Amino acid sequence: MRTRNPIERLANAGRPFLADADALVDDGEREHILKRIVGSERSPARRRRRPIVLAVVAAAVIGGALAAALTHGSAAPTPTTGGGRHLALTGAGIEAAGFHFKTPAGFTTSGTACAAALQSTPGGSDPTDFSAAASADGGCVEAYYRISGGLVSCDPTAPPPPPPPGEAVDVGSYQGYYLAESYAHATLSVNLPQAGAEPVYLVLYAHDLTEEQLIAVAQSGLPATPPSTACP
Amino acid sequence: MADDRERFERIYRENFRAVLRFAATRIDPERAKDVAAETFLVAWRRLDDVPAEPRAWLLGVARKVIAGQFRSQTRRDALATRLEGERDSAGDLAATVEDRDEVLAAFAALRERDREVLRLVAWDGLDAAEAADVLGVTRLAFTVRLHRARRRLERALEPDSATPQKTRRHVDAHS
Repeated sequence: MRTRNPIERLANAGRPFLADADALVDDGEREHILKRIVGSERSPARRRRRPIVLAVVAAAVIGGALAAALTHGSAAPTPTTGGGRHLALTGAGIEAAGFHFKTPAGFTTSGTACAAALQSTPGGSDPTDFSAAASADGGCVEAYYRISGGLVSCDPTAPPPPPPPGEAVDVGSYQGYYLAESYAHATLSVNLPQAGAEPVYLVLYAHDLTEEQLIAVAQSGLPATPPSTACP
Repeated sequence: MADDRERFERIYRENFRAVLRFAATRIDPERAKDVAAETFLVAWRRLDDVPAEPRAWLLGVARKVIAGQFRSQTRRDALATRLEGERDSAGDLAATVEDRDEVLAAFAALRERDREVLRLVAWDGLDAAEAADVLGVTRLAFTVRLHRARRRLERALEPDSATPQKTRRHVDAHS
């Protein structure tokens, strides 16, 4: 017997949608999400989002040249876990433009990008330009370079180029920008200073890594002291 | 702190499915998972604000997460997308399928404002007070909206309106 009550009819019609929704997440994934949430920082949400204005031009040649420029006159990259952090960065190394980054315990080298990050960015870079590592339980981190529009002018009165999206964070002696893109995905863009040129950012895109872990990974591969940006 | 965690875990386990259903009937399934997780992350960070009966509060947060993060990316709602597939596969099968097709077509032809009110009651199973909380309106205002939305759905389901409704639904599903 078919009800004529439109709400009941609508409720009946929607049952397959609800059943499909129930099947989206199994018990294991539900518990995994719970574990991530209760393991996260409980301070009030403080993320700001800004429109993405960066163009991606990462290329191995540019990256290599950049690495040479950055390491010139400075100490060789010194892996560090950052002051006071007790993070075990004993996983596989990932490499981008001559810098070698350590990853968390349990991570092994992966030939697959963590997500469609590179492909989805306007003017996206060649997917061969990233280096990634993944863990058996779904964690992933990849490194690549992003060159922003605008120049870092030597004119002190010139406006600085817009920063990448995210919240400003310290990455050792470097300026970083952390953007939590969802509960599990985050991007850390670290400014690699160079005067009179386009701003360059090391980008670590991660799945299932905390902000602290991402910062530690970045610090593990960058020279302790940024190169001088003094203008001639 | 241990008490907080225990309380949160209870809230999470008792309400995860409702939040996921809420999201999945409004946006595409993959993003629905993100919305559910984001909603509970907010709840974890604002646990002191979560009321003793948390479902309406959680769905209100989920609604804001969807509005804030996914509006530009998901202009077509999940239902509209699903309807196209349903219509293709349903054909002229059993009476229940036919009725479902008819109801969903009529529903999809309504304005989003009406659909949201009807979803909260028919699919999320909320009463007027809870649904009003989700939308951030008074119970009276919600009751009025529901009454109107229900009448519009009834009219859309009347036999005479079948053809124009289907036409409007088609336009809506592709808007």
